[in-house]
Amino acid sequence: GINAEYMGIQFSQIRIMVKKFKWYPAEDEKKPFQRKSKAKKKPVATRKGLNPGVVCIVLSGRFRGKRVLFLRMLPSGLALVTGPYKVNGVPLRRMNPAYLLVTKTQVKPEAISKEADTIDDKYFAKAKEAKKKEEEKLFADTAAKAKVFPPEKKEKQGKIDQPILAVLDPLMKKYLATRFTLRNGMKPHELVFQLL
Amino acid sequence: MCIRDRYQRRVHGINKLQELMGFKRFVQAGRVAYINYGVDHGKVCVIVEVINSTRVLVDGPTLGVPRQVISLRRLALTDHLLKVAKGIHTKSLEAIIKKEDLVKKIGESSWAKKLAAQKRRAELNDFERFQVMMLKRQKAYLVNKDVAQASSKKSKKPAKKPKSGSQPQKFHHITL
Repeated sequence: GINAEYMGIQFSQIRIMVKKFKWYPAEDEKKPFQRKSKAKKKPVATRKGLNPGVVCIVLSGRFRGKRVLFLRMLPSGLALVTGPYKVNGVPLRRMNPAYLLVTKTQVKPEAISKEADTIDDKYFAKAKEAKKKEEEKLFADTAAKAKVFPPEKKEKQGKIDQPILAVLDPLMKKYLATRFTLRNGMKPHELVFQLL
Repeated sequence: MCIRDRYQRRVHGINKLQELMGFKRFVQAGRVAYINYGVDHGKVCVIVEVINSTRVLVDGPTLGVPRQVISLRRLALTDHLLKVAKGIHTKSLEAIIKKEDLVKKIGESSWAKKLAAQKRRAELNDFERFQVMMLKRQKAYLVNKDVAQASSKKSKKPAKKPKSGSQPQKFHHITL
């Protein structure tokens, strides 16, 4: 200890009033947003025209430009969407509704089977892998496991798509198979997708 | 006006002069015109009186155009001409428009049809645009097929007329 005094008080007598931590992070930690009020999170407002069976144009992501069919809004706020898979390669997928351009065209809502209602956000949760130790990871055979698409999901896709495909005529199928692109003379702000 | 024009005017009258001038649509009382700019954009009106070289008095009783002074720059003259005295009152003009069935006549003109087509094209939604694209492709295919046929048989037979009656395949609409 420091054998000194200041204003008649020994350093050894001084008690530190500040709480000490054993570890301080180098950068500021980001905390997730926490509501101060007890107000509940509101459900996502339904967009006008976004009804089951409506054709939407995907605006960003892997499937940008694809025309897909909207099935339903999931409780997480994401939109459940399907190609159908056989028509344009878009599977049952969740999408951010902000990135869906809603069009006026709608497939018969009766074609959207109640199977779609059984799909939840949990359907899309990633399967948890057992935690591997560092050494195991190093020696793991990287070529060993081929990722197999679960057959139950394939079946589900089929169940939902089959009634839709029955209703679609060849022109509609071609329409859904074609990607949306801007061409010469097309002004995005003047294009009509829905007359609201 | 040159001497020759003045002679033509004196001998044959104003219509001959106008014919010589090459202009056919004149700014005159009774001239039907489209309004190209402003609040009444797209509407049809009748020129009632000429004020000066830039402005006219215009009226469109059943056509939705209030009686007003408008710049000639905002007007596009049509072929239609009503037999009307200059300075005609709105009520009398309304009667003449009804009698002549102006609305119907204008609707039948190719100008009006083009405008209607433009408007429809602007209102097409995404699926309709796709349908139009498909139909254009089909039409082009049919036309090119006949052209190719005609050109290949040029040397042996006289050129065939392209089939104008062939209809593109009709698709059924998805209904709501």
